Amino acid sequence: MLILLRKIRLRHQSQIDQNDVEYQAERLRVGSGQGQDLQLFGDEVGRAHCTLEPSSEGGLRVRCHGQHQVTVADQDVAQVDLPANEWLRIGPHQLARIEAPPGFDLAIEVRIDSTATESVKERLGDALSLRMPRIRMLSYALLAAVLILGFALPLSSTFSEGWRNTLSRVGAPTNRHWATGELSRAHRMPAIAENCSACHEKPFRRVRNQACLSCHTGMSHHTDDPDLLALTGLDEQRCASCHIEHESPRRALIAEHVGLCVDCHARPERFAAMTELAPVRDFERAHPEFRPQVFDRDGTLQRIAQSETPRTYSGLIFPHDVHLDADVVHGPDGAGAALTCAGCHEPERDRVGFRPLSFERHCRGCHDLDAVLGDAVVELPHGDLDAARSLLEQAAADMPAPDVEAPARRRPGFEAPRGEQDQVEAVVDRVIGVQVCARCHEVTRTPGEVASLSAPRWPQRRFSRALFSHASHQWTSCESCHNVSDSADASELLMPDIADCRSCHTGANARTGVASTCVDCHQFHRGHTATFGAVPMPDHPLMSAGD
Amino acid sequence: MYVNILRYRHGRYLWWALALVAVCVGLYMSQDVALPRGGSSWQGYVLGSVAALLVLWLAWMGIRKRSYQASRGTLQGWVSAHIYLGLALPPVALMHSAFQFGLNVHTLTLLLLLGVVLSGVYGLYAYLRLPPAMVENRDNQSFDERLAELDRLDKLGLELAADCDESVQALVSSAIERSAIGGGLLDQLLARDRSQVLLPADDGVRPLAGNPGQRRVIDFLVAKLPDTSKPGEAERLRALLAVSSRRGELLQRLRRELALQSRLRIWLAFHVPLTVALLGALAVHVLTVFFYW
Repeated sequence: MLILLRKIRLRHQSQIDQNDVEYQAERLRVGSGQGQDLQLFGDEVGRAHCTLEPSSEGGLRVRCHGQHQVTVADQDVAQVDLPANEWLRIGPHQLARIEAPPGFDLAIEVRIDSTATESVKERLGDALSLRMPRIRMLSYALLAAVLILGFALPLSSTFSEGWRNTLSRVGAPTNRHWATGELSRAHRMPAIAENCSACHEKPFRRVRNQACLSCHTGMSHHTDDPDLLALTGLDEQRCASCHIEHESPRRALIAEHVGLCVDCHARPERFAAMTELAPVRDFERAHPEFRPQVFDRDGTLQRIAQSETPRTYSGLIFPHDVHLDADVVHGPDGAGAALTCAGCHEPERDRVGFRPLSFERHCRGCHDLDAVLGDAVVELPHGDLDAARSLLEQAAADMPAPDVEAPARRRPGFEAPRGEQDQVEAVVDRVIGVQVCARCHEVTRTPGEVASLSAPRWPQRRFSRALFSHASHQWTSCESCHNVSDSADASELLMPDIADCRSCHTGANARTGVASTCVDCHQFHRGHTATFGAVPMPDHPLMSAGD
Repeated sequence: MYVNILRYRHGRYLWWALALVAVCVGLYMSQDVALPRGGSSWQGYVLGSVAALLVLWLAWMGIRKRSYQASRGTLQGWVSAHIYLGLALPPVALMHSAFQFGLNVHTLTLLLLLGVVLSGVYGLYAYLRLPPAMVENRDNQSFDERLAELDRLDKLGLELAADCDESVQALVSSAIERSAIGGGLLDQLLARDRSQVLLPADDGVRPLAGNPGQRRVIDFLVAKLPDTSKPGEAERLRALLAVSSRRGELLQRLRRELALQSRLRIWLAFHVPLTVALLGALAVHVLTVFFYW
């Protein structure tokens, strides 16, 4: 529909100019706002005031928007069908449908009061009011998001595993997001990592020891004496008192700090059960000296402080200095190099301790057990004194008596004179007590008895209360801890003392040196019988008795 | 007498806050080094409780400031305490968390808390710095006075333009009509000038152009000045130039007024919703910690 709009501008009722505008539209929009087809100003003109369109009777249909009105014959109306050539007023302006020139479907004449302008406030309208986000709505929305994502969804995931997996798959939060930190590596198996109730059995109840022990069935306590546990209050400690979970994936579950031990061990006098123990605060500054296990001459195993220069009696005569002296010892074949430490002290496969010493493997190459009795050479068995003795007695009985002159001609029917019983014992005693056995073994000789010896004794571990592993020290030389090359006496205890250890190992909080905690050497869980249901403490033999 | 809120009673609450933080640092450091530091030691529980109580007390500020009948303490004192103890909150909360972060509701709580405090810090900055800027911008003319002047200039401009030729008339009325102040939230915050003008054109299609600072109109009028033919037109054009320049300045000051008012209040749109969310997250945090004790 082609519309002709004839604008006549008036000023103080007199015409200024006239302006014809063509529109191709179905209706005309009138108002003071931008984007109106006919823009009229004035306080009474709304931004979108009304629309104009031809009526079926050849007039003009006017429909006002909202509360706006137009004035027709001094009547304010919101909607009107205006006959042709009838005038209506919009604010100070007038308009009417006029006869359309040829080619136009509708013609409207509008007399515009050019002095009417829009007030600034009206024009700027709500641009002057502050555009603030709706704080209340934002608050509710944010709160709802927090409660749904942080609480409702994770809570719902605790009821059904399927639903939990669904939530996980779509990246929605689950009860995993309630964890205060990541699980330690030791507990990352699906049965635990994806099942919070494996440890947190009931909501709002602390994790019970039983939850730990359902998997860790072989766990022992600090001692197997329930009274001792009660006396020290250890029976009231929870697993989680020391082993803190959900701390950090990098942090082991094992609590390593001295504090856990020295809480009690710094002042053992406070506990009736610990009065014999020396106080410990820190390896570097306050740690009792070592008390290695030694056998005394009677074969009794004792722990003696190193300041008392303990001697250990294994029953062997073994001067380390001679055996390590390249000028003296030339190896098993007599042409090779001197002995090395590892030639006798063979590390176990785990390199923690050493394989047992063996005569066959370690001594036989140089030391034979041949007893020379007159013309005869008797090779004695090792490790069986009774067998050796009877072999010797037999050989000694066959040996001609040294003080009997052999007759020039032996008469038939007469046996050659043989050693008497006293003489046999003297020979056996000499072989065992001087010539062969006593070269390596200490021989005991009680009055009126023959020479005797016993199997060598070494404690399984020198340090019974600490775990020492040669594996972690294998790249240092043996001599750096064991000063053996000057040792002429096998009873010398060639163990390093605490000062030697401290030359590398420092306190747990030290900034230099190898900061060492209690559990680097000691075990907490060391009970031997069931408090929790226990396993024996593993032994790592440094040396064990020879075979 | 006006006293800067930060210097209220010689910064009494600054010392309170510093003392609180010092005590909390002591608590934090006193944690048994045997165990990893965290919220689950007794010191951790105490730090967490202190932080939670601080949050509740600080949030209560929102209620306190609306209760005009409250008699305990001046509102100024409360705001000063709110500021300093609010600033003490992040260190306390961070020590409670032992600086451990993760993808969980606990870190969410901490982040919301930091968000609340950060928005509060901006709010403090706004309250201290923007009112003087507003005074300066107003230049002894109230908002309504400025609007009235603008109205007067608009009418004057239209009158002057009505006596000029068609192109000037169309340009000036279009420039007045399409002078914009606000717009959306960002337009207000940044005082963006989205004014436009329909430029005169020979073929009847008038192109719409940006008119920031009424520069387009001014440029057009300046270009028009040399080739005036009608008597008195040059004077009218010069008067129009003056009107346009003044309009440009008025509009800019109005925009800045709105921007400053907007900036003075926008932080609350973060501070309050984040606080509400924090209260929710805090409840979830406490509940879930004991749910999986």
